[in-house]
Amino acid sequence: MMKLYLLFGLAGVGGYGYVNHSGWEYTSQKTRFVPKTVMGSPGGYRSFHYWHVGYGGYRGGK
Amino acid sequence: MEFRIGSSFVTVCEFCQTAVARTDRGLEDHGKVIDLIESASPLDLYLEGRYGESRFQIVGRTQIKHGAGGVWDEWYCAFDSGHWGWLSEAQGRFYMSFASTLGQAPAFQQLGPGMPLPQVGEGMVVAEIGTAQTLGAKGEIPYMLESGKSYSYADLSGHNGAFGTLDYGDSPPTFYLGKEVTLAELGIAASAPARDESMEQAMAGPGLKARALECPNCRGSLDLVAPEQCERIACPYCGALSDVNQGQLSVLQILDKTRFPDPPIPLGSKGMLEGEEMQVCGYMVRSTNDDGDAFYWDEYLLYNPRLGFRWLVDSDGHWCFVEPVNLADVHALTSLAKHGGRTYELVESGNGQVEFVAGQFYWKVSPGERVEMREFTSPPHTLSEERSATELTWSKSTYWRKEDVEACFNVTLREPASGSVGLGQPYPYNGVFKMFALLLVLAIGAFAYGKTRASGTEALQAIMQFPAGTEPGSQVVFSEPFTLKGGRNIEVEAYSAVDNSWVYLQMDLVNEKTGAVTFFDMPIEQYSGYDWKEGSPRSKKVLKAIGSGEHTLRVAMERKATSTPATVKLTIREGVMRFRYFLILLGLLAIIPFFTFLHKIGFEKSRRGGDSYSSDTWEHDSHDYYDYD
Repeated sequence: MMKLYLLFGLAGVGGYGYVNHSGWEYTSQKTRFVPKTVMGSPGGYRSFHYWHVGYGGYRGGK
Repeated sequence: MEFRIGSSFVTVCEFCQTAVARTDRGLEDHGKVIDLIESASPLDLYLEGRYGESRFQIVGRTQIKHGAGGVWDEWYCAFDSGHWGWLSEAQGRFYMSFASTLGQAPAFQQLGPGMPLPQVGEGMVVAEIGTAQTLGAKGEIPYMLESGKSYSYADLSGHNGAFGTLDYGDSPPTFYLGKEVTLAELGIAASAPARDESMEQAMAGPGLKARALECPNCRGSLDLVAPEQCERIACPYCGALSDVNQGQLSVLQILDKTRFPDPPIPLGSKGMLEGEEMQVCGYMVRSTNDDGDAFYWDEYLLYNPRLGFRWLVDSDGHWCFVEPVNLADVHALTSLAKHGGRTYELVESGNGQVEFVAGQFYWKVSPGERVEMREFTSPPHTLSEERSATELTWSKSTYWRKEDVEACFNVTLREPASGSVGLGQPYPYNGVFKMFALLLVLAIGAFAYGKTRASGTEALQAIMQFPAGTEPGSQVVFSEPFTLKGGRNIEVEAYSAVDNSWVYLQMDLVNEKTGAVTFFDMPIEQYSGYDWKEGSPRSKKVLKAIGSGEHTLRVAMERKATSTPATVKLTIREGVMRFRYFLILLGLLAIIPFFTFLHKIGFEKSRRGGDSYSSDTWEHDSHDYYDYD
């Protein structure tokens, strides 16, 4: 049991160290890449959002 | 007849054992002294030794009979400087003491075991009071020897092996002060003659001469381990308990052998304990009574000529090795005792009673013998106090695993009673707490490392104006390009002065070079009434690290149709400290130690009189209880 605990603890501390080192976060953020054709057009990414996300339709909490 | 030492009073003729004293009137015949009981002592007349820087020679010896049976030797050491030292030998231990002065000795009747005597010396306490009788003598004696004389005495113990004796045979009492010594310290160990079988066979005198005797009841063979120190013998075959007096055995009583099973470690067994070969010479069953429930345990008396006597105790299948300790070195309070830098907690107290004996013993043991006991524990050690009307003793025991005892004596022993905990048994999972401490240190180290990387550098601060209206495209604002180092988390903080309304921010963080777009959203809302309020005009979100380089933030706002413009204040910081992960880590690391701690509470509860002290764990009449070869 003690060996398992030690392994578990070392994994936890190691994971925490990785979080501190890499800047990892638990979030819902998503990443995509703007196609090269769009990137080739100056300022083209400014309309990219609507191609992929569109109108959110959020109406607030009330 | 020759007086080799100028300051001796008596010399004993080696041929006729006549004690001759020299007085101012000349030589006086003090009559014959009793023959010495030969023993396996490593000391002998005319051995030379050293005490500190002073050299001495052993020139005399007397034997003293203890009031409760047993004999000890006193050797008289003549120092080059002309003074005398008393070297007492009892049960394999040696004490060197010198005649000393004492202002006002307490009356013998006032003394009791454990009584402190600060006037004698710091920390000195009475270890034993009793009466003794001078028996035989040999060589030269530094006082007027009277063979057969009885006198009262008190033995004292002090710190660091300090030893004292108040001899009430004289008036006023004579006081001797010294300390416990080893033969090696005296420089005698190397020169002492080796004792072999032939010497032991040649033992003469009123003690037990032979290693094998016949039981006077059943004629069974009794193999003696320490014949010269034997005071009681209990026949392992018929249970006859015999007293040893002047070399003769006389049956005192027949013990009921069927009451207890045979010991799993047979009498006479030899085993290596603490680096020394020790032989089992006696076995006894003792009991204590707790609210009507009797609890029994076994004690094995072990003997080694150099070490003297030790004990091996079996309590509910839990074993411990017991050694005597200097009682003056024990500082006992009501519920605590300190010895050797350790603090022990009181776990048991009560009366201990001898129930059954087998084998040989160095004192006049008999069933029914009772002492008051207190047990203090600091695993794996236990300090035990045993107090009788005339003696106070402390002993220190060390917990032994059953497997180690089995290997030592080549026997198979019973498992410890299910759920029981030995008095000195270490908690088996203490390692979990040590590991927790280690992991805690590592976690704090990782936390400190994270702190060095969490600079909280502000990468962007912008105030974005959103025009009135809700048409798609009209509510989108871009930030100025800003630079991220990468490899660190990103905190986005947004503020909008909403009041009973909401805004919804859809954000894209765009890497100008790679085209990577990170999507996330941040709603901001705040509502309030007469006496309530919820939400906040401020919102925060922490993103995981993204690539380094120049970035632009695209912010799209959604909100209710309105005719007023909106302002959002945005701040982006890179590398912020996240305490929640540290707290989560601590919580995870503490889960197992927490449940281990709960388990330990139950374990300690059992140690302090739980399962291990229930009387039903001993099958009194079962001979199958032990499983041994």
